[in-house]
Amino acid sequence: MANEVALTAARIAVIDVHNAEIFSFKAEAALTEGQALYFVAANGTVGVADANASGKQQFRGIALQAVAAGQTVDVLKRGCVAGYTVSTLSYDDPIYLSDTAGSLSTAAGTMTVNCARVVPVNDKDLTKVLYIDANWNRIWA
Amino acid sequence: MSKVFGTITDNDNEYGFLATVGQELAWQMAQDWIAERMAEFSLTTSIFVEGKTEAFKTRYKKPGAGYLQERNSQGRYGAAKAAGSWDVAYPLWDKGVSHSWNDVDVAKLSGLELSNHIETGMMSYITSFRHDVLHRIFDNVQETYTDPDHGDLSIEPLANGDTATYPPITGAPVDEATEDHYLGTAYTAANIDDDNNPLVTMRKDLEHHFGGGTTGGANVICFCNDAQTEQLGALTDFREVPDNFLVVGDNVDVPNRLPMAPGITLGRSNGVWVQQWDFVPANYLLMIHLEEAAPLMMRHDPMSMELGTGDFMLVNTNELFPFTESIWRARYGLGAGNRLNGVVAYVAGTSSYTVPSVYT
Repeated sequence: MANEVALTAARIAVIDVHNAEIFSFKAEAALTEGQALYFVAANGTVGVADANASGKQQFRGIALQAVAAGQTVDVLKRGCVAGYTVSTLSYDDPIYLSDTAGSLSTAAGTMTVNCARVVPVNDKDLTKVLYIDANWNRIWA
Repeated sequence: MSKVFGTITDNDNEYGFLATVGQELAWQMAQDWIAERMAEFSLTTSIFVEGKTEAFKTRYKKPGAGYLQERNSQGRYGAAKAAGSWDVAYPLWDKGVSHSWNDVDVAKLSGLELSNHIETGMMSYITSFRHDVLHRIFDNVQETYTDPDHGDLSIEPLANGDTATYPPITGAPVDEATEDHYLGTAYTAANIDDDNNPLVTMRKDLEHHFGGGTTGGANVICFCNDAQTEQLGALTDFREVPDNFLVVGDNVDVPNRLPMAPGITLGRSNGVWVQQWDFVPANYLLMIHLEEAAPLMMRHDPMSMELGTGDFMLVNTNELFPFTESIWRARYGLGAGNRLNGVVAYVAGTSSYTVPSVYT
């Protein structure tokens, strides 16, 4: 989709690990780096979130590794992450869950699920990265 | 070496690649590149930075000048003394980078791989330092730095036509009231020739402060971009530095005692070394007198604080399983001290100077 935020899987990495929240969960299905995840209520795993799929219209973090179903994946709940192609976006742009499974988007999907925001790293170029902030108490409906 | 943000992950090692017999990593190019940048950094520092200081402000006192008084047998001479000064100040920034990894992923890194990641920080320091140097030289606007201990400091560029007065120039008995070392030219860079020759104009702007004797007597260097080498090389008296692998024939002028400066020494023209250094933007020329005090000073923390002297160094490591973080930092600031040693010309067919966008 036109508004999806592209990513380079091998470059998905937390920028400040000591100022981030990272949790480990079992993967419901095969996952790749940078995919948006939701909690699977039925079995306690994390699966691929989707803004237009009933029950998956929530956001709990992004996958930091590629894993097969049943493997443990580290999930970034909060913190800055590199690897998404956001250089053409504006600072402070909100990032939403996409109608494409696992993707982030610059436009809200069928269900408006806020996932992240474009922020600068304070280098000379003010390099743009994503600040992920998954609200685990939020009920999207 | 390119840099990306993020902690070192399993995607950043070549453990799997090297597990296949017949595959290897080549490090020589990366190591050579780092060595070249380090050498260039050393030269850049020596040319543009006069020294380090703990001071946040320097007052340059001017020498006295003027004429003697004449008297007859009963008169007396009036008392005279030196007067005047100009102030400069220096900021103090805190710039750094961290590298982090987890214990498993780092175990898959070879020593050279880890070194390559760590040296990214050193390369970032060199890039930042060079940019800070050239920003302070090419940007002709005074800046305000709010120092937490000393209040607002005015960080000066080279002489920019402000109210500062300087010692008398050669040929004048009194202070030079207004001095602007940021020039514009009525001709474009494409029209540089013997009649439209910025080297002479710029050299004279340095020599009337520092002297220079006959043409060729001053050790002055002009940095230019590759885009200007054709026109500067076509000047009538341009003497090219010969190919290092050729034996030069008879009756040929060969420049000698070449300057130690970043970039490539192309030759000598109009009493000036012509030096290509592509960090100088196209359509700009930068001239420095190599035997006078360099234009910038580098501020660092007082030694008693034990925070280093502006160099890039490891300042801390944090351990929070499974991550280790190494934090590297340089606390320094750059400002013009000798505001007279440097002339910048914008050769674009306009009489006014424009700050290059890359160094605003």
